[in-house]
Amino acid sequence: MAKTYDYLFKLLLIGDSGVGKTCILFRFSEDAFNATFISTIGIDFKIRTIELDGKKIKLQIWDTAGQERFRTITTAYYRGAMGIMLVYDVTNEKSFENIKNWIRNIEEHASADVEKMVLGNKCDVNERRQVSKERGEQLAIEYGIKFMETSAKASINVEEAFFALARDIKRKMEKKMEATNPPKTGSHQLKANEPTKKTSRWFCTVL
Amino acid sequence: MNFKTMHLSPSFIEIEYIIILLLLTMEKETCQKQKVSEGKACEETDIGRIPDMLKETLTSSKNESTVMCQKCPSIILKPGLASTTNIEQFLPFMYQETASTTPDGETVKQFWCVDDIYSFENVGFSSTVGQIKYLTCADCEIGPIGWHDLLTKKSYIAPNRVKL
Repeated sequence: MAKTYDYLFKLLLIGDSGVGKTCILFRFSEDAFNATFISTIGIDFKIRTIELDGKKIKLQIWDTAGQERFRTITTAYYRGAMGIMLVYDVTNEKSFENIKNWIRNIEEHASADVEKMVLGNKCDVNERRQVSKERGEQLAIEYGIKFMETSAKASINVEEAFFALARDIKRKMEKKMEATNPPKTGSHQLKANEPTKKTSRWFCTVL
Repeated sequence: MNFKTMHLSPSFIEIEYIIILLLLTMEKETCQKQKVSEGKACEETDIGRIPDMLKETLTSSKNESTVMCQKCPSIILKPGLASTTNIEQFLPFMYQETASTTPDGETVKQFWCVDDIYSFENVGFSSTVGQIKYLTCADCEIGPIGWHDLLTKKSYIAPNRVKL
């Protein structure tokens, strides 16, 4: 069977616990379904499909699932990651200060060319805000990373953030592909599926 | 001579017909005897037995429509990417009285089978429980809507837990 997508990107959500990483994985947060068997055992990762410039992109988004509480995000978790969302809570100064530590952690464990983005979450809660938008922007400039303020609760910028990160990864990949094989730019992922296609066909003719 | 052969050949066909008819009536009689002894309609068992294997291949059809979440507008799977499979799996109910790790549930016997996890449009995977992960809606996280076998890498959606 032909592949149903053009690109596959593995993304990670990183940041202190309680900043709303898990909520960022929701799109319709108001419909969120709580107090069930699923919320007891937790969610490992999600697959989401988006379309960018006519290309179908599958996003595999991983949540740290509480690992961050022990500050032991392991190399295994970072393996194969192409994009990382660094999330802090605008109502929690400490979570913002820790972004620098998380960047250091990424530099230690993740691949050097991983795309990063900083998200200041819970931007709808203005009355308890501790971190201004300007400080967030300043930090992002300092590290040369993109920045956005989001609200998972009010559905502000969440989808936009994922689109922006995916677009940057796609651009980087296309540049790489152009550099390695300049002529035709067909999706290399399609080739990976060909052997299985052949074997199943062979079985069909025998039967 | 010519007339004789012309006459002979139809009579041969006639005999063949008679033999076939005889065989058929004999079969019918044995069937009826069986019917009496087993208390079952023989025609039913005859038809039922043979296509049983066929039935599986015939009914293992692809999903014709888009698979969606029952509760929110999330698209889970596009048409033609899953096939019906008879496999048994215990699934905890989507609605529980209290949150618990030993929840109430049901054994589901037929699923939509998806070979490649990236065939899904939007879906969530729970933490590992034994050899499986439970599937949820990616948006509202209602679930389990199915399960994923870590050994075979196949995913199964319970038809009664999604909207088609």
